[in-house]
Amino acid sequence: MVESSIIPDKTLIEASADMVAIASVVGREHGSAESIEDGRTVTRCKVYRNLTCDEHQQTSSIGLKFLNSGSFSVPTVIWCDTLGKEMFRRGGNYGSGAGADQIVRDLSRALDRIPGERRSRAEYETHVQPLDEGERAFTERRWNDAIKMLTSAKNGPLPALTKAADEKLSEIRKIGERLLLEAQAYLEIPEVESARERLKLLSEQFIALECGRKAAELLKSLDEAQSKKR
Amino acid sequence: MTRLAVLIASAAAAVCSAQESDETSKKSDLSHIVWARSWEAAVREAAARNVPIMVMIVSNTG
Repeated sequence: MVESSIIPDKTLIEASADMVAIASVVGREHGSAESIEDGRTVTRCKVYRNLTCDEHQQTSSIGLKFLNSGSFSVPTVIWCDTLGKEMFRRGGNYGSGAGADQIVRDLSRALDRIPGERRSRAEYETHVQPLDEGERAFTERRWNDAIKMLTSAKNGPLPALTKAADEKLSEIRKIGERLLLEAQAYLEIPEVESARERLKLLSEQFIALECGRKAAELLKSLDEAQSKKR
Repeated sequence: MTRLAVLIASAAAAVCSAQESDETSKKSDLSHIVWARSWEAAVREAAARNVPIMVMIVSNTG
């Protein structure tokens, strides 16, 4: 049984530092165990130790991406490149302890097909955290937080994540620039309150960007002009 | 062995020992396989780290 004999194998666990693993498994009958994560005691699946059974249910249909026919050997292990494209697979021929050794050999073969520098999971996790937080803040329209987190992610060590952070920051910059143009157009009409609303948002939430600083200056001039009129 | 050769040999041994120690600590950090929570997360991590993805199909797919 793959889940009890292969997955807990120490050699495979050590080798798994150089891959990303994903499971396609149906069922919640594994039972639970307590783990320590970030200093907190948490309940996780006994087999898939960083996930709950509900969480690994969410990836249960991944196999359908790769299996065309209704019948296949269990387990089947499919090795994909960094874009998620299948490189090769092995099905069914896994004994108990020997199965883990075979997977480690297959991992070595897969690594041989992916040249270039490897980055550790620790590096990835440190870098992806501000990117995730920045993307969440972006979705929730918390622009200031998004700019702060994405700028931090942009300065991280992994080029793919740096690029993702930079693209998101460009989107925010465009949103800010559009708001500034709208505010300037309202000032021309003049529809001062609509302009003020946008300038205030920009000066509060986009101050780290050029558009936010310009908005703050315009708002200050607007306030000064209005106080002179009174 | 000359004094210089002894010094070089012990420096090399110290470097090897430090590398082994780093490697051991890296390996001992893992007490279990870390499984991705989604296909998108798996691909993003694989691309960023330049490592392969292992899809383990353990039972009939859902």
